[in-house]
Amino acid sequence: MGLIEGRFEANIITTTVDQVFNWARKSALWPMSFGLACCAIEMMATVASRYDIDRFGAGVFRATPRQSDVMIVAGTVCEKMAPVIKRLYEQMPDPKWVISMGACATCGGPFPTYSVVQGVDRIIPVDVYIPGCPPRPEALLYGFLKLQDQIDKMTVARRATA
Amino acid sequence: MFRSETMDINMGPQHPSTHGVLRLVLGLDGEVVTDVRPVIGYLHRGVEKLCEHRTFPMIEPLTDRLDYVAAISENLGYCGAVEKLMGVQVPPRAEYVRVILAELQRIASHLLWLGTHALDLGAMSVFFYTFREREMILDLFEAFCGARLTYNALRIGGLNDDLPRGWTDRVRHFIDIFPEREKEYEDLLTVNRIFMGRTKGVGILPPDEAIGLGASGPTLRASGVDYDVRRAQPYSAYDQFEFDVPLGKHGDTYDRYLVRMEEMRQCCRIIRQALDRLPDGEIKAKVPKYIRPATGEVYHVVESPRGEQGFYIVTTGGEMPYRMRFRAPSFVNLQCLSTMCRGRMIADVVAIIGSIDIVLGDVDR
Amino acid sequence: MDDPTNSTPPDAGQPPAGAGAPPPAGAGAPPPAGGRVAAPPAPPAVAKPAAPKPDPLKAEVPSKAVDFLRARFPDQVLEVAYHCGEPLVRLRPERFADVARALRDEPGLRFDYLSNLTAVHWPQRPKPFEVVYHLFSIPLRHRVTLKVDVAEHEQPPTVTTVWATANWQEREVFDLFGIHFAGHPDMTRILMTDEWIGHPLRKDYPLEGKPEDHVQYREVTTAGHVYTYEKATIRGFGWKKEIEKTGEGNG
Repeated sequence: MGLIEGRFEANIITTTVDQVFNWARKSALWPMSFGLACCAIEMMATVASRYDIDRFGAGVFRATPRQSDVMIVAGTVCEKMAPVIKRLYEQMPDPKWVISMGACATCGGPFPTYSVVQGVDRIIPVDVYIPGCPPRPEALLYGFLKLQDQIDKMTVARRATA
Repeated sequence: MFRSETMDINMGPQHPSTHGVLRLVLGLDGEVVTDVRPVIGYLHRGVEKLCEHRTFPMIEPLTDRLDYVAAISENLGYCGAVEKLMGVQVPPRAEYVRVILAELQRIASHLLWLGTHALDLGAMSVFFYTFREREMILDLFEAFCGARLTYNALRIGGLNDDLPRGWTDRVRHFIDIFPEREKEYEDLLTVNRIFMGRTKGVGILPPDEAIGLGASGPTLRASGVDYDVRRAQPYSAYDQFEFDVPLGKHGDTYDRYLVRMEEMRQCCRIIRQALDRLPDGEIKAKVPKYIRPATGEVYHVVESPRGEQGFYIVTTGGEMPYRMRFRAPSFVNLQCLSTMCRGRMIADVVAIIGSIDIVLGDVDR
Repeated sequence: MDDPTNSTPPDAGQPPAGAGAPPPAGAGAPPPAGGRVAAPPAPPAVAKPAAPKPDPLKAEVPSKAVDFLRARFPDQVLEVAYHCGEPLVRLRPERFADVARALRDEPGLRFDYLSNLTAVHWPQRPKPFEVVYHLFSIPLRHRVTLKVDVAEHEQPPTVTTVWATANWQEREVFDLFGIHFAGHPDMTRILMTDEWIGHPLRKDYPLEGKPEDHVQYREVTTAGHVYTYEKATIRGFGWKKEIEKTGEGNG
């Protein structure tokens, strides 16, 4: 959206454009399959038939970061894995979001040890934090809905503080 | 005129088929794999060192997070090790309930394995079917201890709480309907030409090499070696139940699949016997409020769905262990990967990793 | 190791329980049948200090492995103990590979399965590291535990030629404790990164890790499409931040 973003003041055209783009973005959030530890199993359960994440448009888990919108960091982030996560985040095209799923990704979880990064937000910016160890599939879906609310607030108009 | 070289290709740590953060450096000669070097440690959380700073009851939730797919077997092994260290005798009702939970966990773990293995090989519908049954088992666990994945269900000395009302009926209903569901998966996979073509003769592990490499669990039994910890070194109440230990013949991926399918049937058999003979009585032995085992050490092994899970605890009389070592079956089984992948192609590597059934939390601890 | 809760204080005239006490003074033995002369009254009982009750968890169990090691390698065996019904043999490190091979090949023992290989750090001992091997025999179904004490820079022999599973397990011991195994084909770190300094499971290594272990990446400036990242090291968990500029990357 490089052509129209930040160009115009908020008016009826930009709000309509916002509605369309935000609806399109939030209804087809393609996650990158990035399960690290136990939360990955609950993420798989969310994909399975009982808690079907596909009804929110997020059922297509891409293996490659180049084609994904949201990175669900599910599990403990270790020091050895940190540069890998950084590189994968940089490889994702804009607009991109990060959901930090579980206690380990949020703050290190039950592991205050030498090899665990105390929260993935020390490495990449996070949009939604989901607590739990592991969070139930319903909690992950709630986090997804919160992310969709955040996307709803995006706008292509020029912001007053730009 | 033409000259070829081997190539080193990196697979992982982020990869859809490596079941977690496993990195493989493949030496390739065209499409044929000449060498596999697993690089692990991307999930090393330092749990063994953390246990030196936690009291004995506080360690149990940490054991859940090691092999997170089979958390009950971790809890069972850990509680069994501490009980052995303290000389505590667990009451029979608690032992029987522990066996029921462990066998239900074994079915749940094998269902997860089956779903993800089939998904790797392209059979996507099996994933959804197996997770349907797995959710039923997780409902049973949630009714018992409140958690779906990391249970912390057992206590040193027995159980925390008795069974909820109607729980045994729900378990009985589950093992009544499970055999026909399992038949659904077998109809989809066992005589499926594509599945057989991708798994038969792939990843052969000879039995003497398997023993030398320390393999255990279905990975070892598919090669024909009769070693099941429930039989060889019985623990809990396993010596009171009748069950068969399935063995394979060729040691390939297809045999590992057959062994695990048969194990699920034997689990139902054990659960049925345990439910029929479930004794009444206490659920927890008398243990002191602050668990302080005397100076000593213990090495206790249990049969987790992946293999021989060992717990080595060294104590010096304090509330926290001096050294806590988890012998992880996935760590040892993963070492067999280079033997199994020799001369196969890249697509076979995916099938073989799936058939060893590793859990990275267990590998890296 | 003693068990203080079980010893009863010696009390004069009171025979301690469990010890073979002579009959108390003055109690006459019933007259034996057949008219034999009654024995003279026994001397007053001398109270013996009570022997501590034997700990059932440390009771001796018969073990073919222990007998074999004592017979075949008597100079290598330093100590034999029993814990929770399992025998434990402490050996010298010098010829450990030969001992291991003998245990595996001996027809009466057949320890073909190395179940666990690990180490324990005892900083107060003269030889601070203790490498522990848990062996199991699949055909004969018996177990034994072996221990080898090593000093700081001593290199115990590897057993990868005896049991192939020792390859990764010895690498893990090297990674976490710093014990080199002489003759190992690939003595490199396995769980920590290759550049890691220090051996985490030693008792003098802090649980939270050293300050230089923890990294954080933070975007500092955005000028057009060039993003500058700074690698910050966190001292402890958020006490003080030291920022050093590492480089630029193209977004």
